[in-house]
Amino acid sequence: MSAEYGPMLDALRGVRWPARRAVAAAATGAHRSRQRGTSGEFTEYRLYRQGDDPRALDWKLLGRSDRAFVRLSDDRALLPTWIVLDGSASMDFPVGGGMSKWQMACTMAVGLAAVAHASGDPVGVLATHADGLFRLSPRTRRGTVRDIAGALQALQPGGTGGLALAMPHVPVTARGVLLSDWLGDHDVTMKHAAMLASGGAMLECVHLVAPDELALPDGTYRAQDPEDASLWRVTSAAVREGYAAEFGAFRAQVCTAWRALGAGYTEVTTTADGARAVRAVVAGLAVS
Amino acid sequence: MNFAIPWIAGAAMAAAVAVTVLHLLSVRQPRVMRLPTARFIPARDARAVARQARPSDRRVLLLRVLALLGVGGALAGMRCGVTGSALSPIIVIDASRRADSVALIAQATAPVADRAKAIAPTVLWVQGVMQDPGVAIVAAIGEASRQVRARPSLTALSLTVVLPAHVRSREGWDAWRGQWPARIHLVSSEPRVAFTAGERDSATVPPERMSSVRMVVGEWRGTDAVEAAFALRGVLAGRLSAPQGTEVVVRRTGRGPIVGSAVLVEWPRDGVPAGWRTVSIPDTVGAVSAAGVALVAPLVRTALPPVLSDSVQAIAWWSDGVAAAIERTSALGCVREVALSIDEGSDLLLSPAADGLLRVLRAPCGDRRVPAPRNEDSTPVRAAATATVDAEYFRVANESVGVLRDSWFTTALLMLALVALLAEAVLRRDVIRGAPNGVDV
Repeated sequence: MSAEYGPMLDALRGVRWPARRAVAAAATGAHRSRQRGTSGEFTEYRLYRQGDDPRALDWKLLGRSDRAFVRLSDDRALLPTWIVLDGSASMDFPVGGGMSKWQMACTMAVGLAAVAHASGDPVGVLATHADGLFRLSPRTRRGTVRDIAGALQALQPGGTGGLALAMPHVPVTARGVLLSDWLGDHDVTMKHAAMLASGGAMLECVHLVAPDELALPDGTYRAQDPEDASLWRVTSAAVREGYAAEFGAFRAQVCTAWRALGAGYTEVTTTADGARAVRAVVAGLAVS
Repeated sequence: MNFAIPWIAGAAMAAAVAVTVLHLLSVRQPRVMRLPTARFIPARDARAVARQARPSDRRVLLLRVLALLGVGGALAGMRCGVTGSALSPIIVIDASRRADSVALIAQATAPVADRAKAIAPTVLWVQGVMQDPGVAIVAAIGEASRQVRARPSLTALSLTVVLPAHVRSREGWDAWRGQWPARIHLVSSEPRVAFTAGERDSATVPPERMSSVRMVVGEWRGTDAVEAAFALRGVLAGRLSAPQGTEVVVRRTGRGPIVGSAVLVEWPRDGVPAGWRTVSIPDTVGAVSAAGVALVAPLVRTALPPVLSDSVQAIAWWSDGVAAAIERTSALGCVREVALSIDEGSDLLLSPAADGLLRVLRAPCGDRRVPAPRNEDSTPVRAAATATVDAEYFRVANESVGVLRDSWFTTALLMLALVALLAEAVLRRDVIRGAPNGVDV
């Protein structure tokens, strides 16, 4: 694992990332499960019905009241977490001036993976990059976070492949964290996300924004879209306000769309502290 | 400001113009900046936006042009302070006239003052101009050579010589006149005298100095040829009672000082003045030259002159170069000794050919003069029709005209260019550093 993640992982020690609702039945884990079981954490009594496990009968209560009650308790389950990264060319910005959106996405992916892994959840990674799609299945064994960090470090952003390529690989029973600038195939991704959300998947949207994108620089430049050579505009002082308004409207639209799906939405700028950004995602806050 | 090698300066200017044009053209193509959110920029007329120059562009352009002009100026030998002129007037005045320097310089600079391209005249105070104005040409040539080396921008020179009405000799002038291939402006150093045409022709000796001649003879005989010669030329000859204080006294016989005489001419009848060596075997040389006029006659040389020195100078010569008459400087004036034996009754000295000899004998001490050159003198110099001399005439072949004596100025220009280049590099680097992320620079 790269040493640069060390301070961030130290800062994230002890952070828990509970599921925002009960998870489906799965192996015993840290998240509240929709399944009621017989674990030691008592919740309530229920009258015995035919078919219930006789071992769940409260015999002492039966002896005192001559009525058969069954002890109920909440079950705990694991929540597989998929971290999906957008490795398109637009994520490789800014270049040579601080942390790029891709680097910020990798940092947050490692941090989120560490938090999820600390809860015993299996963590997997899906990342689009210049050469296609990278997939690392969810796992809980030791060294998973290190494996994820090493794998992401070897990837290079590029191409035009957005998250739509990776979304079909996310199961509905998992928690998906989507890290992207949403400048690529946002509409297609939203369709996949809608299907996942309707199936019960818990989605977290992390919108990465570079400060250089929030305001146009002074001077006149020929702004070229890195993913579409035919798309370019000329910057000037006269278009700065219009640009800021357009981009602000786009970000608001993205936020609204994800919130409408029941997903979490967090906007993170590339200059933000990695640990703070991870905490914000876990808590569902915006970070700048 | 001017240039020693103007074409290099022109090339630098052309390069600066080219850089400026390219710079302006490049402004129309703004730098490309990768921006993933370019789609959110409102579309505008790209050409109208691209024509807007940035302030940093102008500073970079200014520094580049400054560097080019600095290098070009250094290589072209740019000079400041010469006021761009190409004409250098040279004025030569006899050093003995320094007392009248203000008036003489004003008189000499008047003809060149109205020349637009003329720089401040160079005044040379030269010894011996009144003896022979040829030395003025020599001095002017030396000064011209010095100036064309010191001032690569110099393209022409003019020469003005301040001369008296008469000079000792014109031999040097005639010999050197061809070395100055242009018209020489001659300015009189004396108050102008209104001569008539006839007077100008005969004004070999200034009239005011031909006051009187007193003859001293031991025995008056009306057949003396010397007396007759002086009488013919209108002086008071043969008067023993001539007034005292006259300038010239001619003594045919006798010795000893004569009171009141500034000029004493010792002309013994036997042709052997005191102090001369008698020739054992007289020879017939045949001619005597004085004041540029030769007297050809069957003259017999009976004596040889003493050793010549600064105080003993020849004023007339035999045809073989031996002095026939000398002038000794004395406390009161001078003594002229003539070693010519003239037969009684001879008309030899009455001929115009003897004018030269008699002229130098009657002239004031040290004033054996000939007419000074005049502006209207005809000259054999073909190029004399022009008023100025091309400076290239004085430049040595293969001489590097780009060599600048004021090397500090070239160094300053190069340093200026270097500083401009460094500043341009720093400014350009700052512009690159200040460029937003994703800009292709």
